[in-house]
Amino acid sequence: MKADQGRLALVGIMDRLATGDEAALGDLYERTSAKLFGVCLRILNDREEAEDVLQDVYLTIWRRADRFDAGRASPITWLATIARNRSIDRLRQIGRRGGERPVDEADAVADDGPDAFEMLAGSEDGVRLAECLRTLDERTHKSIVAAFYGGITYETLAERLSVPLGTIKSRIRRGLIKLKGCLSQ
Amino acid sequence: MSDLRSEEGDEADLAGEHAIGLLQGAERRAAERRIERDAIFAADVDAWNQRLAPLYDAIDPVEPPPGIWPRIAEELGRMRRLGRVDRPAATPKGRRVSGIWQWIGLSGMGLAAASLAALILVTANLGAVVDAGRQDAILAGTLANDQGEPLFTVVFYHEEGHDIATLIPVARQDDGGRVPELWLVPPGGAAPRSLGVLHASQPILLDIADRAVGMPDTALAISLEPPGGSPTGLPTGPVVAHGALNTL
Repeated sequence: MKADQGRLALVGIMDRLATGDEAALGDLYERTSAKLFGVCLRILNDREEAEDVLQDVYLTIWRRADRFDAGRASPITWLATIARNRSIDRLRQIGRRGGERPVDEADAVADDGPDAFEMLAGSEDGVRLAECLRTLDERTHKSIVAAFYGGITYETLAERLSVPLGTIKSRIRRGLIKLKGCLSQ
Repeated sequence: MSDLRSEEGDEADLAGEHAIGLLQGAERRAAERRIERDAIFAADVDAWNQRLAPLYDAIDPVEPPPGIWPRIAEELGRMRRLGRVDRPAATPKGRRVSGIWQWIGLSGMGLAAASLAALILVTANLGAVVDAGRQDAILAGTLANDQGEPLFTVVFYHEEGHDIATLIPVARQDDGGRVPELWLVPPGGAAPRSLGVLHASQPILLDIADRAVGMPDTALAISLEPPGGSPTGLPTGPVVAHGALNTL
C-alpha cells in the first residue's frame, strides 16, 4: 500500500517534470536522491565520482522526463536505470573496469546466504526473479548479477573468471534466454 | 572448440545484454543509438530493465552530501536563462526549455562542468522555412562564439522540394584538431541526430530534406568533435554561442 502510494506520488512528479515544472525536480530529488546516490556508489565505488554523476543523473532526468511512460516502466526503475547507465558510462570513461570487486562479491545477493535472496523477497517480482535466477547454474547467475551491480563487461568477466570470452558470452546468452522464459511463465 | 560451437548456437539478446551493462565501447553506443530509433528494441530494453528491477531493492540508499542539489539547481537556472535568450518570442508550451538546452542538460559526459568552448548553436524556428506560402523564404544568420567572433554564416533556403543549408566558415578558430559536426536537435528533448561533419575552412551545402527540420522548435547545433565525427553518435561538447536566423 505504502509502496503504491510512493509510486503514485512519483508518477505525479514525473508528469509535472514532463511539462517543464522545475520545482518538480526538487521534489523528485528529495524523494529519490538517496536511492539513486546508492546506485551510483554501488557501481562506481568512489564517492566523488558518484557525486559528480548524481548531478548529471538529475539533469538527464530533467531532459528526458517527457519520455517517461508510466505504462511501460515504474518510475523508480526508470530513474534507477538512468543512474546506473550514467554510472556505467562514467566507469568506462575513467577507464576502470567495473566495481574493482571480485565477481564473488555478487554472493551478497546471488548466494544462498540468508541476506541474499531476502533482499529480493520484499516484492513479488523480487521473489520471482530470485527463483528464476536459481534455475540458472550458479556461475551464470553470479556472473549476471555481478555484471548488473558492478558494470562489468563480458571482457572483464572473462578475464576475472579466467575463461574464454566465447564461453562467458555463450553461458550468459543461454542464461538470459532461460531467465526470460522463466520470468514470462 | 565446444565453446565456439555453442556460441554460434546461442542467439544474443542484445536488449538484455545492454540492460545488464555487459556491452562496452562501440557495441554499447550502437545499442544506445538503436534505442533512439528502434521502438521495438527500446521496448525490449525497457522490459529487461523491468525484469531486473528487483535487483535495485538490494542497493541501500545513501544520503548524498548537501552540496549536490544547489549545483543541479544552478545548472537548471543557467539552462533556462540561455534558453530564453534564444527564444524571445516563443510561447512556452510544455517544456519551457527548447530541445537543445534540454539536451545539453544531459551532461552525461560531464558537460555541465566542462569548459564552454566547443559548441556553437543556432536556434530558430526552422519550421518557418518550410511553411506553406513561405517556400521562398531565405533565412540567414551568423553564429558567433562567446567573444562575439563570427565563426559560421548560415543560409537556409528551399529549392525544388529540398531544404538546403549552406554553412560558410568565417573564421578559423583553434579547435585543437577537432572537426565541426552539424546536428539536428528535435524538439522535446530527444537526442540530436548528426547531419554530418562540416569542413572547418570551406563552405558546405547540405540537403536536409526528409530530416524533419520543418518541425517547430527544431534547433541546429554545431559541435567540435574528433576527426571523423562524434565517437558516441551524440554531440560531446557544451554550448558557447548562438545566433538567430532572420529572414532576408
